[in-house]
Amino acid sequence: MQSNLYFHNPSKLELIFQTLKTELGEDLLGSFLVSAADNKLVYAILHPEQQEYPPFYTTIIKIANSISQKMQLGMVEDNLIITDRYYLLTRILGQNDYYWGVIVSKQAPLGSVRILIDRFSPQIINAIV
Amino acid sequence: MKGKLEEITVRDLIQQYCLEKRTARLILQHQKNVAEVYIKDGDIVHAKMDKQAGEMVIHQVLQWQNGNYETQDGKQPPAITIDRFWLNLLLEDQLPITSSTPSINPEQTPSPPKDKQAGFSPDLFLQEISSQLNGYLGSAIMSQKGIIIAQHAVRKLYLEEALPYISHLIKILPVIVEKSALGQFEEDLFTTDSAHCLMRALPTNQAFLLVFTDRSARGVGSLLFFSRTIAEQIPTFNLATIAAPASSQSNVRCLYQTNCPVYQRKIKVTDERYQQIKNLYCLAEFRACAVFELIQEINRSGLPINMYYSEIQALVRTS
Repeated sequence: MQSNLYFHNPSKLELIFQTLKTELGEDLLGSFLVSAADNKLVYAILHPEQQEYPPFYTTIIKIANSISQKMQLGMVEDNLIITDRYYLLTRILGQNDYYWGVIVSKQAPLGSVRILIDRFSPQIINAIV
Repeated sequence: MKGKLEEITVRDLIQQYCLEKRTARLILQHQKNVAEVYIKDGDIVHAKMDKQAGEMVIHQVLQWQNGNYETQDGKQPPAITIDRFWLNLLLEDQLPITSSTPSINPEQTPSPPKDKQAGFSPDLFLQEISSQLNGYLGSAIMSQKGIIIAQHAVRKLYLEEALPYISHLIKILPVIVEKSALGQFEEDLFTTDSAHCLMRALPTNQAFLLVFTDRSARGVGSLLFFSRTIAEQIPTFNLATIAAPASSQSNVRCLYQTNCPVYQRKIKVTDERYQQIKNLYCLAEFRACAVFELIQEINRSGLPINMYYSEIQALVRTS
């Protein structure tokens, strides 16, 4: 993994995450960006108690990738965890460089969340590379 | 909310509102046509376009590939012109006229035998759902210990190769979700280049339903809905029995341990429990698991394998 992964622009990321927050309003519980290379949190808007968990979420997507490869189903693009209260959608950015997760309440329209993620993904990639 | 139909299909948009049991007016615009679809508590109840109203409008808007949409949450329908189950309505357009694949409605969803407790066959059950899911690639029911209780596929899926990873994933998913205060784990769905892979926890997280579908054939919303519907029909009794942890006198082991001269001394099995196991024992995959488990147990015990010869033979014969 290249060392320039961390040459991101925090103000750009902040702006993107704030825009996401505005778009999703109260439905948004949190969002995080994790570096795949070292599983470290790059940026997050999360409750302090939840900040330690994104690396675990990304572990899930890594295992999913292993499953997919073993089953010859290709590369994983995103992972959706559904609980009784929330959706956690994690999208792989770049060439498996970063994992971007968005946690929303189950009241949020999932299709719209996906659209927002599609829309913001290129912006996040621009901000971090 | 406003957007373009190039970003989300009309089908996905309607489906999303239905699955979430919302009430809304969807305004769809394509070229010079403007249609309104009303959804009330998750059911499509009314649609109109110019002088047309009812199902005909739905069939037309489902063909629209581009245009704009606007959603207005909470808008009540001015009339009721549609009374069909929404999924049936949406799927009707997806199916070719000559298709023998049945559409789904609550009466037609796969159902296990009446006597769920004793007669439920996971193999038959998976076989049944295969014909009702467009883009179906395969499915499986797995215990949390990673034992495949039943599996079915329409093409080679290499499930066995991925088994250690699947087993690991279904073990950690409920734990991570619970630890991070996200509530109770229900489903995990990952989308790959070519497929949707869904893992749904069955009651008590002791067993999981896995469904694999072709990505190009079916939307995520339909798959989630379908998995919920079918998961509800799997009796928890049998699965809880199959998936019981080894530390609490696993039923999987009880069966052969009861018949095994070495282990029957160690394990006590009630008549009722024995009957339950016997009921399960009619499943081919389950028997294969039992053979596998027995061989593992023999390896662990360090005893010569010929001591178990008759037990292995008995299991293989019935497989």
